[in-house]
Amino acid sequence: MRRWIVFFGLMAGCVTTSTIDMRASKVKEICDREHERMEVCTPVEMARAEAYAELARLESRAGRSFTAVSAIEKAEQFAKEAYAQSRGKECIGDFDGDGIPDMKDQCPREPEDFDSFQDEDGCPDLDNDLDTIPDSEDACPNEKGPRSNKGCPVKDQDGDGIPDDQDRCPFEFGPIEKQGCPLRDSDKDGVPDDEDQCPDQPGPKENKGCPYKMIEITDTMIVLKQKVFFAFGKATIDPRSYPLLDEIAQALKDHPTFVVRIEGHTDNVGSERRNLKLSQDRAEAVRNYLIRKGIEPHRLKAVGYGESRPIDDNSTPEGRAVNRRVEFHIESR
Amino acid sequence: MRFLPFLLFFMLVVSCGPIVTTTAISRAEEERRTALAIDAHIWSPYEFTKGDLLLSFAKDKQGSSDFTNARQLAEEAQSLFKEAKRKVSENRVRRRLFETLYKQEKAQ
Repeated sequence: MRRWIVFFGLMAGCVTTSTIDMRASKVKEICDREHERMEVCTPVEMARAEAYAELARLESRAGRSFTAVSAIEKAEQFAKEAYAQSRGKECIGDFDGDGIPDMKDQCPREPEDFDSFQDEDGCPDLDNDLDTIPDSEDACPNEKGPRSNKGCPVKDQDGDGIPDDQDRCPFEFGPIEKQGCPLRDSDKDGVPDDEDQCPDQPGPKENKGCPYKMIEITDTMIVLKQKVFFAFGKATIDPRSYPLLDEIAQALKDHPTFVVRIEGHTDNVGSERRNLKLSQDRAEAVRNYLIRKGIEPHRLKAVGYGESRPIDDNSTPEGRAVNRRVEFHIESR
Repeated sequence: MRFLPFLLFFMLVVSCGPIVTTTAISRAEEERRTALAIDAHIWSPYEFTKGDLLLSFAKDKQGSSDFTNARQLAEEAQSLFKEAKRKVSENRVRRRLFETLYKQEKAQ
């Protein structure tokens, strides 16, 4: 008898912490796996199995092999009992037969509909998105939507903030004022067609999308496409040039920050002094005309250069005609 | 007399483990008592039984001066009793419902 005691004592001493841990883990694993069934049919046995497994772990870590072995054996015994007794069908406790145990089933009388929407609660979800359209009639059961759209949400495919059903152009971004349709700009001048008085001709926004006909505005100048005509040898503007000057006045109104230098130039016929005075007078005449058309005087400077700045040959009639001119230079924008 | 403060400090350090453990066990016992009062052992048998066993293990450990494990077990027991109490009303309603359902089923 003593021999046996010594033998078992030595054997027990050999039982390592890891072995106990392994056995305790096994018990825990069974209890976790079968928790639902055991909780219904064998809760006490399961509780004992788990508690003793925990004790076994603590004891083995404290180096008390005997107590650890005794505890783990009890744990295994209880786990075995709990497992065996929880095999019956009644342990599942699933009244509505939806596979979700009654203990977990929030609707034990009604079977879950398993429509991939909250299937864990055991309750059938007849209208997942709560849009009052039953899922069976709802083309989009998980997204709220009106009946008129078969229960699907009304989309806004162009992302303009106007739902497709109210959007006249559902695939094109457009403001609400245009019922969701984009602002078209046929001539691509940056002025939408509905604001563009010349929708087919590119023109600046300031001129309501229409091009200036007789002038062109560059970075430094208002370039004239035709000459400003004066009475021969005088500073009286020829009425032929009124439309041109009117357009210049309009351009200056369209660009209210422009400050312009009006330059008068002549050819070399006659005395230099007289030419200088004539060019100054003509520049002044243009300035006065523009002032009369409503341009603020401080935005207009008149300078006469006489014959000092020719741009063509003064020895030919054509060259002299080119040299007799008025120029508009933009001093600041 | 010179060593009195050191002695007191030493005693405080030494008595820390037992005090904390005793407190944890007392709290667990209090939870157990209130759980028992609402029949948690009937309505939440798993949580109550496990808590009960862990509490008794905790007392054993305290008896063998294993204060760390004793406190850990007592705290676990306390939370199990709390859980048992929480589940009582829920389980009570469910159990009654199931009994009715099964009775109806059998009658059919």
